[in-house]
Amino acid sequence: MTSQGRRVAVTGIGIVSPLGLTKKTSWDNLIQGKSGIAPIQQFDASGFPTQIAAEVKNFTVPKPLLKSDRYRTRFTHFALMAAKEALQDANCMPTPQTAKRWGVVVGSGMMTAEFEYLQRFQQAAAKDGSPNWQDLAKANFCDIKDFGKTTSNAGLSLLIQSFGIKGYATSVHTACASSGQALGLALNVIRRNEADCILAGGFDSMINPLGLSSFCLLGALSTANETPSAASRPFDAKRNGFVLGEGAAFLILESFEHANKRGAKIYAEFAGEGNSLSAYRITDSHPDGFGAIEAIENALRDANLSPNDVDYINAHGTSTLMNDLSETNAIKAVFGREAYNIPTSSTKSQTGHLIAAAGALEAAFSVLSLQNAILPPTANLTNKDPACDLDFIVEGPRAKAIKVALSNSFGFGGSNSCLAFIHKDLRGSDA
Amino acid sequence: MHKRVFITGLGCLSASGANLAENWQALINGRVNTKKISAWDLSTWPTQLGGELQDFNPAKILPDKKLMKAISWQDAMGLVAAQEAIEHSEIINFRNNCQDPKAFNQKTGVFVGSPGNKYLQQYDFLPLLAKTGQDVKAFARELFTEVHPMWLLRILPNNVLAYTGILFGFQGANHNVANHAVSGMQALIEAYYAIQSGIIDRAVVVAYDLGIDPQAMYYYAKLGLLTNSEIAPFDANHSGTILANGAAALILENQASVQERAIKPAAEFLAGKASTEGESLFGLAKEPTLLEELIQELLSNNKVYPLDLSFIIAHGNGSKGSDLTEAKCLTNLFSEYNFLVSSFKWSMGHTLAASGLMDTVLACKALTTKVLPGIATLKTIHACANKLNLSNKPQTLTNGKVALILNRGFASMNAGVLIKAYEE
Repeated sequence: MTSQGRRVAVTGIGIVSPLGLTKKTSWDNLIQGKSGIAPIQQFDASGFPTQIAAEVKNFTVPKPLLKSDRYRTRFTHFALMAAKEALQDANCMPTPQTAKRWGVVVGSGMMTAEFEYLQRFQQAAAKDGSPNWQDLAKANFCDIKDFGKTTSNAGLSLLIQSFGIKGYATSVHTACASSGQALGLALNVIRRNEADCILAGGFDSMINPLGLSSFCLLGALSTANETPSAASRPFDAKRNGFVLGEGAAFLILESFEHANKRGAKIYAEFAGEGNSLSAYRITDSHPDGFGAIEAIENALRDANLSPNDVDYINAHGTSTLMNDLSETNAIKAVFGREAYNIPTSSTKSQTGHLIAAAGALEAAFSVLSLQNAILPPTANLTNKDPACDLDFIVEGPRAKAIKVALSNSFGFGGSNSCLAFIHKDLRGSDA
Repeated sequence: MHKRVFITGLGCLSASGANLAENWQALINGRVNTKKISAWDLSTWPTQLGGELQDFNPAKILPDKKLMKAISWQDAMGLVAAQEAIEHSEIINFRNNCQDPKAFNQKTGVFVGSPGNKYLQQYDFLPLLAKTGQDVKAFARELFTEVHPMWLLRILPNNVLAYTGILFGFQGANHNVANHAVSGMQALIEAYYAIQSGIIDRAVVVAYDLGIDPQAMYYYAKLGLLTNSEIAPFDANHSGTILANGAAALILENQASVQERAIKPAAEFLAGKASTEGESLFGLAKEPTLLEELIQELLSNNKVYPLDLSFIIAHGNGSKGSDLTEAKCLTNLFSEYNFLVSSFKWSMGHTLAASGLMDTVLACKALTTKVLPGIATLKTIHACANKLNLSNKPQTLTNGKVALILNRGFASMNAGVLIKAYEE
């Protein structure tokens, strides 16, 4: 027991990402330096300024098993697949006897309706471009399946039903910080003894004409259509925007007491989280790193760590001009001269930006870095930006045994998350 | 170590009024403010009722006049409610004159219950779709001339959280819960725990929703959840709910912050809990076993006994499924006690993500005034609720000091909080 409450272990991981449909393939491809970014296949993107993305590949829609499966979308399919893998990996499933002590916390995406649905609505009830409610009433448009797919907590509900969870459940959304914050919230729910085990993570896909449009309008995406695998280049002097990704990642978080009792395999201790609000601008991070600084400091404090303890940082590293500068300055502000000695990488260079799912995917990679003693690289950092001059692991994956890893996520709107994971042996296994 | 947490500012915006005072008067006077929707032509629809805000002009209220260009109308509701609660608590004056305003801001969190996105927000793409049909290439080509470049920023589900920080300078821990109708109450519970853990000293808690989204109403009607008369929870003729627009906000503070500011809180926040029944997205369990267990755990874990209760604010949304299981739950647990049971949605409608927080704000008012509004639309008590102490008139509170507020939502979510009349 720590001053914050019960200690929390990571005992299962599940991943569906642009690098693979499982934890193993995603990790192996990450370490092998493969890129998940390619020309968009799901629809004809040739008219958009950005025509590339990091799509989940070779994905087939599983057979519906439950009545509720009719409410699934592409991104909730990802969630169910990743969650199932995480539960199997943990070798622990909710049962009717334990269901109330199981929770689920998700960071979910912001898309209400899929593009195909909006097209159908337009044809049924907005023929001239503005909704006509009399037409809608006449059109026999209603299918509750559509409502189920477009309700804000539909993904949460699918996870609850699919795995028989009857305890704490919530869905949070703070843009790109969503699933980082979801994991932090889940940590605190176990600490305060409201659950023994939590399925925690995130899922998202904005790779559809509507999602792509929204970011193209903002000019936030890389337009390096001719060189997709080099388009996401965090901290590089020639970075020119991020690349949309999609997928899901889930961790099984479990109190040490519960994990020890059942002899669970423990990947790492989830030791702390930092959460802050920049209160600066809706899209831009503060150039000096304010907001991010507080999130990192809060995570260290929460985990009872000092800056000198940190061995690796999985950066938010989006490949946008301002985020990467701001994050670099935040790391310098927290760690001082030591910042230059802490290996730091952005796995978005290979996975693209999974938006609401990014924090969970990168938390999973951070935990796997602790377990495997290998640090993933920052791909495509070939032109040094004098303002982004930390040790960004540019040479390829680095073999290094580490004890403490941080994972950063910063969202539009200024919500920030930093998660602290420590090696399972660092503090022993006492609950 | 357990910290006492207090409620020090309140804000409320609904069809029943532009602020807390007006909402309170509507409840006390038994005024029903759900009516035929005027914003949209729904004249051929079987259900046409809603709780619309009257004369809502956020540009005149919000501190930054240009803000309406950057946010949606639903965000504006949340920010207006937040502003009322912040002004009521007087924390800005205190912050501006304290020794370390930066530290104050960093120890002030923002917790929001948000509806997620709305169908309405995507209608900016309809003219483009009408023009380009199924041709995605043409859609992409015309995109920049048809849709505002800042479209995404106007519809961010965490805009109220972001702008509460930007407008007022708060920089502490935060969450934006998007969990249908329990969003606001879960935001409140998480704010409480964040204060308990010591990472923040106080929090602005906001919840808002735009229930009157015709496309969503269309589905609610098809699910059989809407009435075309009035919300009459626990009445023999209850026939459904009425969706509404609205927002609520409150300020939570730890004891040290309250003492430092030398203010008298509105109430004390004791505890909260939320969990799922594990049923379907739109359904609730037929038996209220898990709702009963949630309430029992909430009371016993916090050493609150039934005799401590002054009243219960039920979710009471008027729909058969929820009303009947809720009444059964309260009867099973409390029929031998005589405390009052009421609900508030009959007046302003069901504000979905905002409803749990709005009920908590209004319950605070009941504790401070020692008057509990009745359910004005209650004519004949349903047989399932005839052992509950329900009334259609305001009642004077004489016994107990604690209020239990219940909240339910899609994904078979249940939530409850306990608040207590302020005592030093």
